[in-house]
Amino acid sequence: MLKVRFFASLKDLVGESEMEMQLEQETSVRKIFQQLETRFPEIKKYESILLVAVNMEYADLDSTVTPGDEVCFFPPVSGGTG
Amino acid sequence: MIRIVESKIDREKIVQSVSTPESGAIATFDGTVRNHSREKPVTHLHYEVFPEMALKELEKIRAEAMQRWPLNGMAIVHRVGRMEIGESSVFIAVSSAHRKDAFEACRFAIDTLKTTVPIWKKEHYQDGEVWIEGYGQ
Repeated sequence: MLKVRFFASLKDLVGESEMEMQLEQETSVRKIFQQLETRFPEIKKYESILLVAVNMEYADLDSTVTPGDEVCFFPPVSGGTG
Repeated sequence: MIRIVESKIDREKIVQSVSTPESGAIATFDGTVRNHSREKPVTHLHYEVFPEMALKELEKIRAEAMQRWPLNGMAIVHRVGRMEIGESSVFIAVSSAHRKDAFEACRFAIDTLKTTVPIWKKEHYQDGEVWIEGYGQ
């Protein structure tokens, strides 16, 4: 299994903040994203700007994920002010 | 002091946390909620956070700053949830023997925070709301 979490507008688009996906063996973040795309076609527009974290460390679409990992997808951050 | 809080930011307490007898300067940055954005009136803001990762990223900023400049202390506190116009959403305090290092490290901290710390701002208007994503970059 793989835990997948979403934040901000991506969470709104997917309609939930987290989900579990079947994962039997090592794969890439890109493959996970492609699976999500089939369920949520609108997510495609985030592909070029999206930030990815695997187990709370920044990663990218080519990073490897293994069963038990937590993958987070989110838009560019916008904390702070001023 | 590295914190994510939901209640009002206590500036005085943060400044005190970096105050040391060796410091001749404390530089602070106070990020406040602005009443307009791209010529549109803003009624209030809402910040969402990925808490565990945000704390890790804030710690990284402090660690890098402490390594790059001769600082005596650095504190970063970010508030999340709903905030009204004029309230502080983020407060940074940096102490050093001389002002140059404190100013530079403070600037580094807020600029880095805006690109690496997973916190998102949603602006609310009279007629709706919009996620501001990547605005700081």
